[in-house]
Amino acid sequence: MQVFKLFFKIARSKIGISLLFLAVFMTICFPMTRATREQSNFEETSLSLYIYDEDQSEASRRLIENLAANNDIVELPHDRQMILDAMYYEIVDYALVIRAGYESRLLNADEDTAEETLFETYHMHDSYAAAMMSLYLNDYVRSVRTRMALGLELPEAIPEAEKDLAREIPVEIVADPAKEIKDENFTESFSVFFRLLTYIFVAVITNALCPILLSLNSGDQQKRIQCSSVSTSSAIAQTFLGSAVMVVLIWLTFMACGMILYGGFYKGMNCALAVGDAFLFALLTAMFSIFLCSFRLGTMAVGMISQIVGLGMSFLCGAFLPQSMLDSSVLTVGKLLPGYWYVKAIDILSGAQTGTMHDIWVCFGAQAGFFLLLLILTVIVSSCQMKR
Amino acid sequence: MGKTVVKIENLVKNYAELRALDHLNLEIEEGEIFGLLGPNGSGKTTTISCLLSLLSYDEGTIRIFGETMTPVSYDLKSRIGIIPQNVAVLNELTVYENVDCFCGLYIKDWAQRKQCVDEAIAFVGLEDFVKFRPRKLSGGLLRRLNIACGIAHKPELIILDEPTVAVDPQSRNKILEGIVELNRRGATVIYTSHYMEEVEQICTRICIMDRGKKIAEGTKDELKRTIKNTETIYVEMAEPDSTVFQKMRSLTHVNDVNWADGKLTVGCAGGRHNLLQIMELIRSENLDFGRVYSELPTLNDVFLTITGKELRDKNERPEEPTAKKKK
Repeated sequence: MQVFKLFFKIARSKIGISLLFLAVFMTICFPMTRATREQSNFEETSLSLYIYDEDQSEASRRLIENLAANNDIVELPHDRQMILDAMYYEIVDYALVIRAGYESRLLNADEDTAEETLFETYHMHDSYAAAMMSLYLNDYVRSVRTRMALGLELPEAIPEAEKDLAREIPVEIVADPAKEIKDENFTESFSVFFRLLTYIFVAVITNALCPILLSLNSGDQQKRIQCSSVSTSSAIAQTFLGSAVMVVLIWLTFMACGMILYGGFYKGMNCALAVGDAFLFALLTAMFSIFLCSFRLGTMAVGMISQIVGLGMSFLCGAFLPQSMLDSSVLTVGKLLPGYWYVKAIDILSGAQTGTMHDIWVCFGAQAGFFLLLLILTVIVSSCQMKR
Repeated sequence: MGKTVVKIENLVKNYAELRALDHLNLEIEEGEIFGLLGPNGSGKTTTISCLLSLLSYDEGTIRIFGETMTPVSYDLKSRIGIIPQNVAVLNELTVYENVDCFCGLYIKDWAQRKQCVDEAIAFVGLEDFVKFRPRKLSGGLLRRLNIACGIAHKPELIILDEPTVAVDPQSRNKILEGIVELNRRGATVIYTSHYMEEVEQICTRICIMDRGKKIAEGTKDELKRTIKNTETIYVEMAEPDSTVFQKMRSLTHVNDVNWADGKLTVGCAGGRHNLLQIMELIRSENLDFGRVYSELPTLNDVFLTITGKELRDKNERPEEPTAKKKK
């Protein structure tokens, strides 16, 4: 086992850089995981509104008061061009003109055209502010009209309608139960740690493995080993064993760090699957390192390539930004990279994407496929190098 | 006559169309320091690579210590030490760890290995640098570390491929003394170098290779006897007239006479009184002269006479593939 020992003697000199990566990674991961944990799915927001009241009635005054309660009212001269300029410079999100006769028409206006007959509006086409205000005004008008239709007078109907609209509606996202494998033990906030491993594994494993493999396989060092009494097959097997042990150690270290973020031992099936997914990806990265070393490049070149691959894959595969936020063309490219399948499995397990156990196995299978592909390519490149 | 340590018979190695080794025959006896000389691309490194089974060959046989050498002759490999041309050490490890690691490829027993490593480090004089990493060592110290890594397991046959390239004279002397000492302790040495004076200084027998063939073999004295001029006499003087040239050429043992840059150069063969004859002729002609000195041929003269003086690198014969990798 002399080559195996030699492997770890060289590895010992790389512990510093690996610990540095670990420290930087954990420093980044702690606040990111916490930030995601504190984020809720919905948050209150207010719009900047410009309101001009042509009606000057009690009903219009109440509407303005109601809107002002939850939004910011912006004072502007009532000039169309100035309103448009304010919208262009995003000083105003939505401009509302309450038409003259608003109060009198409130009850009688045609339901389908209520918004047009009662209000004149200025807004950015297809903006969320327009959609939100349009919905709110329709709800407001419909609610007041309903109460007046039930026999209430306008001064009574308006507060009732306002009370009704002010009520918070509890929202629960319910996915298709057939496609739901989410479990509470593996939260979306904790999945950030696993997603970031896409880059970290590439960086740490290639930086730890490649210099050792390059040292052992560089021309004259390899000649010394080939000329020794250690058989070639044994030397190769010991090198592979060394690589495997090292990858397992790196994986275990990061999983242990994950426990610190998690706050204890991993629980539940989804955590176990995520840990298994990370293990597969770590093996895949090790195979990539061996593949890279088969070209017999310099340490600097290997370092640069690993950084480019690590960062590129992380961006394209949704390690830094959720896959749901990535453009479909980016995801199409991402599918050609193993990181996509690793992150997808993590997203399904955390509930960030819907998917079944079948989808998880597809992700694992895709990674295994990439592993085999890299293995075959490594054998081809190595045999070409030997012939040269 | 000692036992034959290395026996190469009719070795042929082709790189596609190029014949790198052409029916090479070599026999190296136990206890020799055998010098392998040749211009670039002559087949020295290919010979060593075939000898170590790092390269396959097309024809011929290689026997080391009486046994056929194959890639799986691990017992034979354990009796051989290799010191490659480039410094082959691991920059991540200290001097001690380097020697220990490479020695560990041959010796598994820890106590025995420790003793061997200590001895090897002491032998090359690196005791004060055991905790240094190779990057902090000078070129000469690195070369010595390279040697220590190859000899720590006490091999019976040591192959040194140009071990003194880019080394200062002090370190070179130390290395050469070390090689002689290794030989004195019983190791058979195969030594390749471009430095003729080194080969002349330490090798007991020399083989000159060219274009994959052995073109001369013998002790340095035997090789020197193969060339025409065994003595060259230089006389500082004005250019003599043609009659003096004719008289000088007619002297026995004189092969050729030239004058250039205020110096008369007379190439002589064999004779014991060449200098005396020439001086008598100069005196009889009443010619003025300055310094007079005589030089015996060096191995360099032998090498250049046998292999030719033109530059080889511009010739059609490419570098050997193993040499290419070292760039």
